[in-house]
Order: sequence, then structure tokens, then C-alpha cells
Amino acid sequence: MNQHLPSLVAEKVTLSREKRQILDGVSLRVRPGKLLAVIGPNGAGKSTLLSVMSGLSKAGSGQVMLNGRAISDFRPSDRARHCAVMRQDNARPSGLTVLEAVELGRLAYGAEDDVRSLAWEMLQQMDLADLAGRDCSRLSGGEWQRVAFARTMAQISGGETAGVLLLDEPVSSLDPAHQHQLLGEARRLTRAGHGVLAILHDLNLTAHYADEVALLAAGRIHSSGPVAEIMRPAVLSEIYGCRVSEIREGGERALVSFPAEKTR
Amino acid sequence: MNAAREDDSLRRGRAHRRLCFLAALLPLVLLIASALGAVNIGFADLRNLVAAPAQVPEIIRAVFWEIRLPRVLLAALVGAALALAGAGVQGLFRNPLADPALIGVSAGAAVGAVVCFFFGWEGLLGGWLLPLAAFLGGWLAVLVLGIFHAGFAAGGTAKLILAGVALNAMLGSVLGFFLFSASDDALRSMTFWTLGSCASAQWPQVVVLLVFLAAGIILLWRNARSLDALQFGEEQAAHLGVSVPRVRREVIVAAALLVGAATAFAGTIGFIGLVAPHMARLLLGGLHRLVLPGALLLGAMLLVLADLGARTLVAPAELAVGILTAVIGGPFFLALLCRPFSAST
Amino acid sequence: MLRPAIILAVLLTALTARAESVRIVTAGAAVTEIVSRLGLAPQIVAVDTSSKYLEETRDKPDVGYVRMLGAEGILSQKPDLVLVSGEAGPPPVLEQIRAAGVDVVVISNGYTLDNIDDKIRTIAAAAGRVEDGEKLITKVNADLQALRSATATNEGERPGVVFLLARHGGNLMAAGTETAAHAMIEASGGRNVCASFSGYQPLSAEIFATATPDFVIVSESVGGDDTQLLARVPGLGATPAGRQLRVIRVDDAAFLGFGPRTPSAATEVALALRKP
Repeated sequence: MNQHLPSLVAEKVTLSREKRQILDGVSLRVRPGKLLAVIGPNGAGKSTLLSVMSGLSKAGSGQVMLNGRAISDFRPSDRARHCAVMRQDNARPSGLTVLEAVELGRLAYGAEDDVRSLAWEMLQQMDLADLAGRDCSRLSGGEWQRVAFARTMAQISGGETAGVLLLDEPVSSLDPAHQHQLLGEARRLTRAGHGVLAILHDLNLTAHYADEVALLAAGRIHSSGPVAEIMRPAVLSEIYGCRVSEIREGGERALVSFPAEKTR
Repeated sequence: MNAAREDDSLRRGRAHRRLCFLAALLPLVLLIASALGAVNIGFADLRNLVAAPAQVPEIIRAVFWEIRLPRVLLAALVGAALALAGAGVQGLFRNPLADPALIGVSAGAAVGAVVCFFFGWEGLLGGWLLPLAAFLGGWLAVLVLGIFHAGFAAGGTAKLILAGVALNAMLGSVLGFFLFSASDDALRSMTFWTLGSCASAQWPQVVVLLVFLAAGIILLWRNARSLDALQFGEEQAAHLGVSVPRVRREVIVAAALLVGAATAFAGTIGFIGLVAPHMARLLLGGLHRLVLPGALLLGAMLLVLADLGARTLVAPAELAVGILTAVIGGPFFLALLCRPFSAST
Repeated sequence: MLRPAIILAVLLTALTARAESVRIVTAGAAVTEIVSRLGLAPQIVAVDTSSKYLEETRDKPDVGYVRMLGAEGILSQKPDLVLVSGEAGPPPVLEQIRAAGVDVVVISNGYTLDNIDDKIRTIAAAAGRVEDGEKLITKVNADLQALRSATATNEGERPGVVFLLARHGGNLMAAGTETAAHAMIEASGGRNVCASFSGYQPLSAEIFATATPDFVIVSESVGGDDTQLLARVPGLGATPAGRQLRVIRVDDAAFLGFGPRTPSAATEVALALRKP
């Protein structure tokens, strides 16, 4: 299916604002067919990293390459056809229906005949068809997050070539069932050859859905690699500053966190 | 699922029908407005104006073709231009309270016009110096805003709005200076101008404004989808493929062209740029491919009706049309705010 | 530019001997006043707002503010002749009225007493009342002669004068140069103490530090007695005019209008200025 494999690579990206180092030599690779989770404590620079990798912020040094070309060389509409981004601060527009919002995912493609049927398909996949005519401003936070994800899927699906999705905390407002639904869809996209980068906070979901993990702390990649290697309770406890334990039930593994141990 | 699809096509169908209805209503409003005026033209004469012009007294022909018709059309174009600019600016700033005045074009135009009145130049160049000065004043203000905005390290629309507020305040005090030092006569002219009037409508002005309106329509229409996407926020819109700086530039240029030209010929007329786009959104939903034409039609109708009041209510004298826009538009807007007409229900 | 057009219009209208039933719309107080002095008040079918103060035209339809006329409104009065003062507009409106086949005569105004006779002559010719016009001119010239003799005696030691204009809202402004009031102060044998600026300026106490008026001229429509008036202007009380309560009240339509009543209004002021 794929003419060429999508890739998004950050090489030694450094960024400082007002003399504060936010990113310090970060190198990261979003591979086709893989879901890369970026985890790390608040303020580690995750959203800034995503902003740089999406081409919206310029790196102080280092570079970001999309499909082998510097991302800054892309025109916005070209970039949008290869790399879809779901931000956290997605404004909920009033006056647009859910269906219209999802159709806007296809903005970069110009006039297309089948925009509507593609949008319907995405809504069905996210169980949102019943909300299609609802004004976006009247959605709950969770519903809106699913709509935004459906729009992001619409942006990258349906083309000849696979692309890259960058998701900033895509499940932060969702109930457990919908968290699984959304990340399940994200993983399904990787099976179709897309590369996915997701910023996540839920360690359990990360362990379950990610193929690879990058642990970001204080603007640096602390460690990165396969889930089983990186997500060890001892490392996570140290990075997050709270107690993380592993629970096994049947063949499944789960990570749970407890309050930091009080010094007695 | 099928029910949802059906709902959706019903809703879209309704929006399109409403737009068609507005499009059909405009000619009717234009017709009614050109039939009424201080000079009473009977129904037979009205019919004969087209069918058998020779049977109509010359003065009636002159009143209709040279005075009333250009005036009705100018009012329609001015209303359309203001409403269209309002729709663009509100979409760009993602703020329903945004007004084209925010980018300084109205205040700049007012300064241009007031300077003209202050020095008693309003009659120069066969009366064309006044619109020219107003237009240039408006453009100068927008240009200054653009230069400042380009100078901001990290700009963004929020800073543009704040810069616009500061610019408006500065222009306001320039305006205040001239108003304060003006002679009584000039002061009255200034006051009348800032309340708006379509009284000096003539065919050349109609043609000039038509050209500006066309330019504004082209600039805004090609950005209609981008304005939709901007409703998700500027960054998200950029991720969807919108070149935000380009859209911002083009929408502001369009608004400056539209408001500058409209204000040049008719003075500052408030309310329409703010409310007509809202009416369009309430009736048609938020997609700019519907909002832009809807606002254009509603703005045109509102101002034609307001001007009809301005030239007939106290005939043979004139009322300032700015006094009437809110009186006519306000109740209509309030009625629309009530749920039953809303596009999203 | 305008002159030949006016003369042409005047000639044309003079040639077509006008019937008694000519319908006239006037705009501009001085124009309306001249027209009604020519005995044409019954033929005036509508006037502008500034002409409404005249007894004869009080009940006529109002075509609005002289600078913001509406073409169709004026035409709806079916006029044969439209007489307007120089500030009338907007210009396109006058063009439209002309295009509808109605004579429009613009009577240029300037801040001088020397062309009142021109104005009368133009209007009289346009309205076909040349004889009445000449009679009125004779009277105006006699008034001007009286004014000259009233001002002739005190040449050389002109008293200082400030003209106060009451604006809407009640604040008072002083008349500088390039105002009707300035021209009239000079014509009445006074010296405008506010010649350092042009147009009307809001008053500050500092004006009177350098400008010391012996007289204050103010419209009779300004409320309150002289003491109250002087109290409203900071610094004025300390000037000679303030100390001696020398306030001259004028009918501003006559005094500032540069119409047929203006010379005699100026004479009254000139006589008042001669009082010690």
C-alpha cells in the first residue's frame, strides 16, 4: 500500500525560551507502523517537543525531518497531508457541527468528492455518528476529544500514502472505556502503516498500547526503547517522584502508582 | 446511523434553503425601497419607468434613475461591505464581539474625514476629496497596525487585537482634538458624518464601491475554509494546513478595503458589521461558505431598510442612517436570538 | 470656478421672466433672510434648519441641515428654484437637483460686509425681483454708511474685544481669526484680542493673561445675566471688560449672518464700543 514509509525524526533538538532550557538535545524517531509514547512529568517539555516536531515552533538548534525533508521547508498544506496533529488546546467552535468539524480534517486536500463519506466513516469508528449534527460547543469535554481525534484520523486517512500522527494527551478527558477505544484506534492506524506519537500520562495505558516509549525529563530523553525495557517501576518511581508498582494478573501486566512515601 | 445521516442532510438542506430565501428577499427589498421615497411615484409611473419611459414626467425619471436608484444600490453595497468585513474579522479573531472597527480602519477613516471638514475641504475635487481622505485615513491606520504587528517578535492575533485597541485610542484622541477645536459648523458636519448617510450617492460611487466589494468577496471567499479551521484555534488550524499569517493578512486587507470604501462614501455606520454576521450564523450555521454570503445579503437588506427610514421618516429632511441601523436591526436580532430560528436545533 | 456658473445661472433665470408662482427652497440663514426681505416669503416652500428662526419661515417644511441636504427631499417640495448659501452640500446632492431640471443657485458667502449687495443682487436676479433687490441694496448701503460714520471717530485706539460662542452643551469658545465673529469685530471698530489663533478655541484662564478685552460680545441667546456669564469664564473677571461688566449682547443671526440686517447690527455694536 505504501509508496514510501512515513517518518518523522528529531535530531538533537534544543530550544530555550527566556534563558530557560526547555529542550536539550532531544533525538526521537517516529517510525511507520509503531506507536511511540512520550511520557514524563509535568513541565518536562513534552508539549514543546510536539510543537517543534510538528513544525510549528522552530528549534534553537538541531533539526526535524519529515519524510527525509526539513519540516520547515514544507508549506502548511503539504505538511498537513503528511503529519496530522491533535493538540490539547483545541478550541471548541460554536456554530460548527461535529460532522463539519471532522470534514475540516480534509482542509489541506482541497476540493474532494468523498469528504463527507470519509467523515462519516471516522465518526462511526469513534461511535460518534449520533452526535453528527450536534453543535461542537454543546459537546462534553470527552466527546469533543473523540471528535478531535476523528478529525485527526480523517486528516491522515484515505490517502495513498501513510502519514504521521502527533497526539498531545489524547485521552486526558476520556472515561476508561473510551480511553481504550481511542488508543485502540490509534494502534489500528499503526497497523495501516502510519506512525503515531502520543504524549500520555497514564502509565498503564502506555504499557498496554505503546510499541516504544521515550521518557522525557527536564528537557532530555532519559531513556527510550521498547516498553518492557523502559517502563520499570524503579525508574518511573524515581522520575515521577512517587511510588510505582507492577501488578500481574493472568498474562497481563499493569502499572499502578501510589502517593510518594512520606519520610518518617 | 441512517437517521443521523438523514438529519444531517435535512439540516444542510434547510441552511441552503434559507440562504436562497435571503437571496430572493434582497431583490424584493430593493424593489420596495426604490418604490418609496420623499417624492411620491405612483404605481403606474413606476411600471412605466421601464415599460414606457416617455409617458413618465421627466422629473420623476430623474428622481428615480439619478437619485433614488443609485442611493438604494449604494446603501445595499455599503451594508453588504460592512457585514462581509464583519464576518471576516469575527472569523479571524474567533470573537463574536469583534468588529471591523477593531483594526482601526473606521477610526482612521473618521480622522481623514474630520480633517477634511476641519479645513473646510469637503467640497474639493467635486466632493471626491472627502471619500478619498476617509479611505486613505482608514488605510493608513491599518498600515500602521500592520507595521507594528510585523514588529512584534511573537505576534499572534491576540497582540493584533491589543494593538488595535491602542491604535483606536490614539486615533480617538486625534479625533477628539479636531472635534474640540472645530468651528460649530464643521463640528456639526463631523457629527453628521460619524452617524453615516447615503445621501450623496451617485452612479460613479456605486460603480467604485461595487469594484471594492468584488475584491473583498474574492479575498474572503478563498479563505472561507481556512476561517472555518481557525475556529479550532490558530495552532490547530496551522496543523490542518492553514497558512495563518497569509489568512490574517488577506482577511485584514479585505476588511480594510470593504470598510474603507463603504465608510468613505457613507460615513461611519455602526452595528451592521457586528450584527449581520451574527444573524447569518444564527440562521445558517457557522460555515463561512454560508456565513459570508448570508452576512452580505442581510447587511445589504438592513442598510437599505435603514436608509429607507432615513430618507422618508422626516422628509423632506434626512435622518442620519446610523441612528436607524440599530433601531431596525436590534429587534430583528433579538428575535433571532430566540431559539426556534437557530440553525443548530 | 463657481463664478461663471453662477453668473450663467443668474442670466438664464433672469431671462426667463418668472411667474409669480415660482416655488423656492432656500438653505442658509442669510439667503433665506434676503429672499424674505425681497417679499418672496410666501413663495418659499421649504427652508433648511438654520432658517427656521425667521418669523416668516418658522412653519415651512424643514429640508434639514444645510450641509447635509437630501436631493429627493428637496425635489419632493417641487421647487422651481433652489437658493443655497456657499456651505450647502453635500456637493453631489446639488448636482442631482440640477440634473433633475431645477435651477440651483449657490450664493457664495465670505466673512465680509462688502458683498452683501452682491448676494442680494444674485438672489433678486434669480428670483426675478431685480427692482426689489436694488431697493434692499440701497437700504443696506445706507446702513453701511451709518456703520462707517460710527466707526470713523475712534480710529487708532480700537478697544479690545473677545467674542464668546456658546456651543451645544454650554461650554464657551473664543473666536480667533478666520471666523465670522473676527470679521465683525473688526468691522465694528473693535480689535479681536484673540487674534493669536484661528477658529474657535476653548477658553482657558491663560488667554486673558496676554489678551485683555475691554468688551465681551456674546449671543443674546446665552442664558444668565452678565455677572453669571463672566463667572463662567476663568480669568475674565480680572480683565477690564470683567471689572466693568462690559458685555454686549447681539442677535447672532443678524450679527454673524452677513445678511441684510448685519450692517445695522454692526452699527449697534460699534456705538456700544464707543461708550467709555
